[in-house]
Amino acid sequence: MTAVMLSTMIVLLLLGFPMMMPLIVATLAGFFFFFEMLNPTIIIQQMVSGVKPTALIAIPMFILAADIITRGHSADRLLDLVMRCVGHIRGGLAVTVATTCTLFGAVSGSTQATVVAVGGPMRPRMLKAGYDDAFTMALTINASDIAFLIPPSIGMIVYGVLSGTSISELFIAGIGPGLLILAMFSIYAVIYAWRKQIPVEPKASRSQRLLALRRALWPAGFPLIIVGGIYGGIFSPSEAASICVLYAILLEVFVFRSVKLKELPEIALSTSLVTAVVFILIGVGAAFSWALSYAEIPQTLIAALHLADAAPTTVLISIAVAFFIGCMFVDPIVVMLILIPIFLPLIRSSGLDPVLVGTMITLQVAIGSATPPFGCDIFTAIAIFRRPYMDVIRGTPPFILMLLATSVLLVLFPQIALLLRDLMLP
Amino acid sequence: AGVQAETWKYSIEVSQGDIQDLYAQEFKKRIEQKTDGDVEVKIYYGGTLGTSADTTELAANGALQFANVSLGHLGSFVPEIQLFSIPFILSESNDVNKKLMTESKTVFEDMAPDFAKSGLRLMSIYSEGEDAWAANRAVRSPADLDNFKMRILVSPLQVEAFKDLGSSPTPLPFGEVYGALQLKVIDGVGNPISSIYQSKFFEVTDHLISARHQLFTSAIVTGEDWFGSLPPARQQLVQETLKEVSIHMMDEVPRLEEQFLAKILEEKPQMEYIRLNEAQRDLFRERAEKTRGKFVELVGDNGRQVLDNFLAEREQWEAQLN
Amino acid sequence: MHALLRGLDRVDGWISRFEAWCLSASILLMALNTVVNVFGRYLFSQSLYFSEELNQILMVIVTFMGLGYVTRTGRHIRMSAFYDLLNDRRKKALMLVITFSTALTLFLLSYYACLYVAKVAQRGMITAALQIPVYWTLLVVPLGLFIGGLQYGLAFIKNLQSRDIFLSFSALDVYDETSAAGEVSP
Ligand code: NA
Ligand code: NA
Repeated sequence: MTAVMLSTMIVLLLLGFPMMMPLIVATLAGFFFFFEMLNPTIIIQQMVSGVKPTALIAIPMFILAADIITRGHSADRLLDLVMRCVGHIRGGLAVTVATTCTLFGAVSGSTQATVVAVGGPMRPRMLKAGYDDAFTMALTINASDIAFLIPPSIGMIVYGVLSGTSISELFIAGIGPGLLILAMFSIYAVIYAWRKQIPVEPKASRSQRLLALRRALWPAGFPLIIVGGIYGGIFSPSEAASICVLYAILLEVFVFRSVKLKELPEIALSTSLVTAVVFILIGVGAAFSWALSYAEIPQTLIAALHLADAAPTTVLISIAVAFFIGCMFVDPIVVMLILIPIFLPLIRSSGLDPVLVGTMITLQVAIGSATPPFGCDIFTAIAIFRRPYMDVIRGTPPFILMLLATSVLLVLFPQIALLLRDLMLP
Repeated sequence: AGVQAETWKYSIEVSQGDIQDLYAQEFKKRIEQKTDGDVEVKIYYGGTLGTSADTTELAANGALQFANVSLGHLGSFVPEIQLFSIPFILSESNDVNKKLMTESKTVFEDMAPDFAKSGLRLMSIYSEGEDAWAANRAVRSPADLDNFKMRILVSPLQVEAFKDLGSSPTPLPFGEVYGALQLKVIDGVGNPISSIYQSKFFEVTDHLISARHQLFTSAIVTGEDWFGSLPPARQQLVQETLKEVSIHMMDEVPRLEEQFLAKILEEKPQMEYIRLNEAQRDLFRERAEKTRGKFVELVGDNGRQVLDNFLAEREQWEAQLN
Repeated sequence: MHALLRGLDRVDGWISRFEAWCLSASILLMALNTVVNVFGRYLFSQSLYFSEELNQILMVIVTFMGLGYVTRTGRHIRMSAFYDLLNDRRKKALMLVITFSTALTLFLLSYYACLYVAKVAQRGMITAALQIPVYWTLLVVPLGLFIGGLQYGLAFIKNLQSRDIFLSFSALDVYDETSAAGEVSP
């Protein structure tokens, strides 16, 4: 069954079918040939159920807010301020994008929302500054995924609950690897900028900076709403997103008068289009992974590895590989729900620190969301940037290499994750 | 023993080691033994086959043989079952509750046609323990719940019940509760002590309050069609075994609650455990009277009948057993 | 231009205006609903208990009504690396296969969705918060899948009738260069 589903998928994928088709046809094949007893209406149930999680609301809301401020003045003003501060440093803009993605993703809890909210307004600036599009998109996608490791991290909560590991400890353990990756990306970005000789702007004078700051005063409310609102416990990420929509409307329609109220339905339409492109795949992906877990395919595959008596390091590496591969095809959270219970006895008997395992799994999940063929963040980038699939993934290999290097470092030096925890929680 | 075991798929809402898992394991052990290898029970953990609503539907479709879902989720299939969401509706006696949850005519016979209409059969109910509050604030009286954002399941009756108790009910998906408690978006959550431990809510709260206002009830449902297709002897075997397991679990739960409480207090010594006394509980009990009226309003004409019958049963068992 | 195509063009226009209205309204309502819930919680200590459920219903509408609209504008994500290597004649043949089989698949799913909705209706489930029949909230599913199938069917016909290669009835197989966040192609 695995072979049939997988080969169907790959053939349809390569032939250029719309991305939902490989998933639908593989799922239908599962139902027709392997669970003849089952009613295929389950596929519909799972497609519907897949797009219902409340946390997903953050995606259309951030898209809408980003859409409004990009058409209006807010995005430009915020970016002018950024340029005045870092424009004279080679690679400065790219490092800013990486850092913003990490922070925004950490706070919003949604990597897809990050790709949209940061990538949407920032990408044109990056292109204008002379960065390559492939580099820009890959940087945005991969930097957004660092957010999985920075608290609050939904992946770590899921792991903590499933494995009975302290979530607070996991949160702290994620920070080290998260910052390490950000540092690697930043260094890479600077090297890239030097090699490409990306032109720099003359250093802004004090008065220019002050002017930029003054112009960005109103739009500075956005980071305030998002960071202050969420960390301050005033609202959930999806609520913060909708408050951003409200604020964007107030600013652009009433303060700056750059967007007309009657343009809103049209903006909402374009938001819905981007949302639908991604959500159809989330829904179909849910049906696909349902078929996988119903047939217990992951269990079968993992049992075949005979890991029962393996050395702890082997177990850790196997777990990392399994999650990496799983996340290539299925939504990361779903992969966690399916695989963690399977690996749990092994984690317990191996004597590995469950916090280390959790950090490793979260890292793989972060990598997986940005790796082809099925990565939700790739889909989001395609939908929002309107570039073909291959263009979007062209720049990703160096980033994936850096992420894999981090995985190897984590196996060799678990202190990257555990040191901070041991210091803070003696 | 049969040559090829028949596989019964059984889904729970939570992860390994939770009370629902212990129940499932116990059922698996007993039924596999009784059927002498004819049947193998396969347990699917929370989320892998969908939400609680999904797995309930899957049971109705026959894709799963058994689904363990918390009773709060069954209200969309059979509104009358929200009876169990009314605070103080159950007895103070565990023995009486065992009877009510396994034998109540009001629930298992009178509601059966409604479940059957949804393709379901309600097999058994059991308690996962009291619904304790893991909270950012100490609560000793209804007044302490003023402006207290209590996480609830989405259901109109729960909204009413927690308004009546004095709090501001805030519906929130389970997955967001930990983060919301940590950032103090909500002030507390009501869950069995076992799940407060398992879901790590104790890490992000300072007070654990036992008001014993409600038991967290869980149900085993199966598909009406599938169950009907079993030979009568097998039907009876399944029914009996589930009843046995429910009674066994409800005998175990008080001990498990102690264990989980001890674990919480050991891992977080500064956690303040507040056990309300009878006088304090009475203040909450009075307020729950109103919720009964709201139940009747919500469910309609039938609601009054259901409520009266159930309370009569409770009284009858209380008289008989105490 | 063939009369058939003109007729189809008109039908396509009606459907798309209807879809656009649903989509746009759903997104705005989602924002409104969420904002009001936040204000309710802080100003009146009162959450909208149906807020989450309404958002879920709107998400389902956006996803499934969006399916048709996304198809119409040729925005579905595809990996065209191998396809792009083909010559135009083979591309055309492959596109005919793609549009035809995708249309059939979506019609099949639409049929399953009808069965599913009928089953849910028969079971009489009501939603937890709004207390409305669950099947009402699902009607958009078969409809959206059907329109999606129809759009691919139209694309198939267009590809048969025309010399160019069409991703959908109205979208040519080229990426336009408008790259601003989520701009709708005219
Ligand atoms: Na995060
Ligand atoms: Na992936």
